[in-house]
Amino acid sequence: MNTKQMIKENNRLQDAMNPNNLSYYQDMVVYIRSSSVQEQKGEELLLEIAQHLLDAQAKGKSAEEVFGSDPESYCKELVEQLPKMKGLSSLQFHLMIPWVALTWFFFVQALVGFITMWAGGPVERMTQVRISTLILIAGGSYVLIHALLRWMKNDTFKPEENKRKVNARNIGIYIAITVLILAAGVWLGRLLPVLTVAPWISLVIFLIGIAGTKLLFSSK
Amino acid sequence: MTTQSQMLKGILEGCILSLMEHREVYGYELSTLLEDSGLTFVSEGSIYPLLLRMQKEQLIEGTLRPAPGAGGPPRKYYNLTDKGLQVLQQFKEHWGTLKDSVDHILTRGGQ
Repeated sequence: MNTKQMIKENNRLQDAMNPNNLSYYQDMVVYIRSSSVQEQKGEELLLEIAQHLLDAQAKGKSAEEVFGSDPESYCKELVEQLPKMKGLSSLQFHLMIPWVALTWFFFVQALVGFITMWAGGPVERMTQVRISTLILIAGGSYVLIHALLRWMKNDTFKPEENKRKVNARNIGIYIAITVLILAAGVWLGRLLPVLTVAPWISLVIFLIGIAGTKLLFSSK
Repeated sequence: MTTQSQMLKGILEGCILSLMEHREVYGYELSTLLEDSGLTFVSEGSIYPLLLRMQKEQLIEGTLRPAPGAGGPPRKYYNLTDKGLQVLQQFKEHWGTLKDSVDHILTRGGQ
């Protein structure tokens, strides 16, 4: 069974769970899927656990009775024992976000370029791409998505009212990080050269990016 | 981890190996077999981290395939590897010795 089939089967099994067990189980799914474990092994385990839960449910047991009242530490224990992503797939995991972000950056770049050309505007200015901008997009998207993932994961098992609220302190931290990134961008911008990328080259880069996304990152 | 829980884990591992000695079992089945034998200190869910570790140590192998009978959902079936069989033999010997010694002390204790 490949990963796709397993996920499909997994969804089918979730349909048979009662609301309480389903909510407990879905938290486990979020936790395990957002950990850097081998996808195939993680899905196998999730499927196994879903079936166990359904068998237990048929006997009138709840998820808490089967897996304990502390799902977070239970999941942590599972993730510790699951084989970690290694080599290529770990690289894929880290590379995917900057790759996708840059791909779409070049799409916008091509689009703006073509529109400017069509409208008879200053194409030259539109075709300038700072290397520092590329670095910022790659780094920024990576930091942003991983921060969000971590945030989600930490909140998974908290009851609704305890979920992290957007408070002044968090906003302050985000503003500080943004300012820091922008300052780094300005500083880098002075150091690094500016490239000229014609709209059609941006388009080709975008297409290569899309093909690469399919080739490198879509699950088998 | 306390010595006691480590000891229990070792015993649990031995029991799991033994239950897989003659036929393959799947997770839920394993937990019912343990419960039916009276090993009630084992919470059902705690077998999964253990099964994962035993796979990592190559004592057991798991294969995902359809349950026997038409339309059965795929399940993960576990069986022993050669290494697992060796570890099981060792466990049986150790357990025998330990059991004899403890029985010996208990029956003659205080006399």
